[in-house]
Amino acid sequence: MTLPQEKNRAGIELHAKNLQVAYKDFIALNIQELSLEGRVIAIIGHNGSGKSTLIKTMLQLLAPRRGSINLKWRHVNGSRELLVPEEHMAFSPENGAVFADITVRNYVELWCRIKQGNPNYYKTNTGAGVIERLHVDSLLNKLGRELSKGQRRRVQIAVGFLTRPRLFLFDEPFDGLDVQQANELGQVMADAAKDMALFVSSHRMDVVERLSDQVIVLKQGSILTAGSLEKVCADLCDRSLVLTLPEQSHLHIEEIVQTLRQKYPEILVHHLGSQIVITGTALNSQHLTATLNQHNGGTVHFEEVRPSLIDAMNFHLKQFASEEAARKVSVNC
Amino acid sequence: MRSLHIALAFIRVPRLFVSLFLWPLLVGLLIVVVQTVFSGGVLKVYDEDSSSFRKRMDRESQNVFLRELLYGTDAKLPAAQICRWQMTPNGEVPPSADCGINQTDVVVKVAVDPAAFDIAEYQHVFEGATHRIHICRTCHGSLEADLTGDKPVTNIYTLTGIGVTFLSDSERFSDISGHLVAAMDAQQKLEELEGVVLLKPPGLRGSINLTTSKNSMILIMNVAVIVIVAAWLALKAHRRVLDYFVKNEALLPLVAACGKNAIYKALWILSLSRVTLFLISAIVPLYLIFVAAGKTSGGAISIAGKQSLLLWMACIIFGLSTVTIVVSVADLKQRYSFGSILYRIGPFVAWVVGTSIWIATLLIPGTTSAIIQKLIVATPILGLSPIILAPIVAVEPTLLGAHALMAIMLTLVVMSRNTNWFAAHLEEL
Repeated sequence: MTLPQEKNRAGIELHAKNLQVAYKDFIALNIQELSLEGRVIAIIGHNGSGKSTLIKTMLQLLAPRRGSINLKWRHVNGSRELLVPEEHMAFSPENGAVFADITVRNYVELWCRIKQGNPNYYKTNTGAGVIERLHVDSLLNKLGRELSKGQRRRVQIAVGFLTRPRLFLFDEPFDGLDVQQANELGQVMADAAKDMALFVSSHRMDVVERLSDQVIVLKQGSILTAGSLEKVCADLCDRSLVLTLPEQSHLHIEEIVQTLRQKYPEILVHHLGSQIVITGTALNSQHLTATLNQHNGGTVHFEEVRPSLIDAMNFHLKQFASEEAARKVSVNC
Repeated sequence: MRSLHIALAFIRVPRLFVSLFLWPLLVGLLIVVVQTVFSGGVLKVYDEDSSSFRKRMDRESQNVFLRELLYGTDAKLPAAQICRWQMTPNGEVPPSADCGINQTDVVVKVAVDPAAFDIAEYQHVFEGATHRIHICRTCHGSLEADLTGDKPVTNIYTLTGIGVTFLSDSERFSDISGHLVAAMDAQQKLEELEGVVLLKPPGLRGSINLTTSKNSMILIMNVAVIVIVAAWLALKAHRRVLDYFVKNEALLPLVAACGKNAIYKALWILSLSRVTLFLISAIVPLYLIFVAAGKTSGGAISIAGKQSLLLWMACIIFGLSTVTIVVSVADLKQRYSFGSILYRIGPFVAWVVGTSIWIATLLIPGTTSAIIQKLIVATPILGLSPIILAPIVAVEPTLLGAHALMAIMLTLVVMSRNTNWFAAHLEEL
C-alpha cells in the first residue's frame, strides 16, 4: 500500500487563513494559517476536533464565518488551477450514502447521468474498471437498504471515482471495516492516488501513515500541527528509541517494560515482539541505558528511530490526559 | 438548466419516478374518479323531475334481486299467512302443522293473548316480504318484532332476517313514492310561477342565476372538497420529497458533487412538480365535468368558454400550489417557535379574510368597492374563494389571468428566497 515516490508530482495546495467555521454559537473550526502541498493529505484528531467540519468547508457545504480556504491543483509544470467542488471534487461521507429503496445499479446510473451525461458510463472500459476494482459489480442488483456499511461505502467510493475527480475527500473511510476490508480499501486508495489527490479523515493511524504524505492534526478545532509525516511526528513527540533484545537474552521483556513505566511515567513504552519502543520528549538514551543496565545487570543498547504516527499520537494523547488530570486537580484545590 | 438536468436525472430512476410521481398521479386520478361518480350521482338525483322519479321508482320496484335471493322467485309474494300461537299445558305451540317457523318468517312477540292481537298494521308492514307472520308470546325467529316492552323493538338474528327487513323497506318505499311525486309536482309548479331567480348583489358586475346555478353549486361544493383534499395531499407530497432525500443521507455527496445551489434547486423543482402533478391530476379532469355540466344545465356555468375554463383551472392549480408551498415552508421554518401553528394556518386565515372582504364588496356598491374586489380576486391566496366560485360569479378572464400569473410569481419568490434556508434545513436534518 505504499505510494509511488515520484518527484515533481502533481498535487493539491491547501491554503487557509483566519478561517473560522461555526454552528450557531459554537466555533467548530478556528485556523489561523495553514499551507500544505501534497498528494494524499490525512487529517487526524479526536472526535469533535473539527475534521468533518474542515472537509465540509473545503466542499463549500459550510460557509466560513470569517477567513478563507482555497484548494488549488498544482500541475506537474508548476501551473496552478483553483479547484471547484462540483467540478473537481468527490466526497465519500462517513456512512456511505445510497438511497435505501433503489438498486445500486440505478444509483450508479443516476450519478453517471448527472456527472457524465451518460447513465451507462459505468459500463465503459474506464467505468467498468472502477466497478470491478471496488467489487461493486456483485452489488448492482441489491437495494440500498440491503447493503452493509462497508458495501455502502464501496458503492459511494465507486461513484466518486466514476466522476473522475481531481480531489477525492474521504470522511472516516475505514470506520466499521474489518482489518482485511480496511487494507483492501487502503490499497484501492493508494492506487487511486496515482490519478488524483486524496484528502482522508481517519482514526486509523496505521493506514494513514502508509497512505499519506502530509498530515494535519486537529485539536478542539485548531491546528495542533501539520506538515510531512516526519514533521508531525517530531512535533508530537520528539523521538522514539527502540531497544532490541537478542534472542538468547536473559532479560525479560515484560520486566524491562514495567521498570521503564515505573521510572519514567511521562514516556510511552510498549513492546512489539522482541523490541521495546520508547516514545517521548527529551529522551536521554544514555540515562535510559544506565538505568536498565543497573537494574538488570546486563548490557542494553538503544537505537534512535523516527517515531511512528501511532506512537506519536498515543504519546500526545497520554500527555494530554496528564495535563487534563493536573488541570482538574488544580481546579479542585 | 443544471438544476433541471439533475431533477430529470432523478425522475428517470424508475423507483423514484414511481414513488415521487406516478403514485401522486394515481392518487389524484382516484380522487377524481370518486369525485366524478359522486357528483354524477348527485346531479342525477338533483336533475330528476317528478315523471323521471316515478319511472325510477317503477323500475326499482321491478328489482327482484332480493326476492330471488330469499325465495328463489321474482314473482310478488302472496298475502302472508297469519299464525296465532296457542298456549297448551306443554307450552306455546303453533296453531297448525303448516305454521312451523321458517328462516324467512316474521315473529311478532306480544304480551297479550295472540288470538286477540290486531295484526293488521304489521301485516301491512311486512306485506310482500314474508310468507308467514307468527304472533306469539315465547316463540323465536330470524326477525322478531318485540312488542312486550314499553316501546317496540325489532331484533334481527340472521342474514336472512336482514334480507327480509330490506325487502320490506323496499316494498314500503314504493308505497310512499306517490307522496314524493306529488310533492315534486308542487315544487315544480312553484318554480314555474317564480320563473328565473336572479341574485343581483350591488357590487357584482353581472347577476347570479340561482335557478340554473344550483347544479353548478353542487359541482363547486364538490370541487371545493376535492381541492382541499388535493391541497392537503399536495402538502404531504412536498414533505415527502424533502423527507425522502433527508432520510436517505444521500444529500451530502450529491450536494458536494453538483453544487449546493444546483442540487437544492433541483429538489425544489421535484417538490413543486409533485405538488403540481397532484393538483393537475385532481383538478384538470374536472374541466370535462364542467364542460359536460355546462352543456346540460342550460348555461349555468358562467365560464363556458374553453380558454376561460383552462384559465380557471390554472388559477386553482397555481393558487393552491402557492398555498401549499407557503404553508409547508412556513411550518418547517418556524417549527421551533411557540406560535408555529399560526404559520401553518396563516395562509388559510388570509384566505378567509380575503373571502370576507370579497363578500363585503359584493354587497357594497361603488368604485372603491369594485377596485378592492378586483384586487382581492387577482391576489393569490386572498382571492381563492372568488376563483373557486368563478363558474357562478363570472370572474373576468383578465382577473383570472392576473391571479394565475401572480400565484406563479409568488411561488417563485418563495422558492428563491428560501433556497438558502432550505439548504440549511436539510443539512441540519
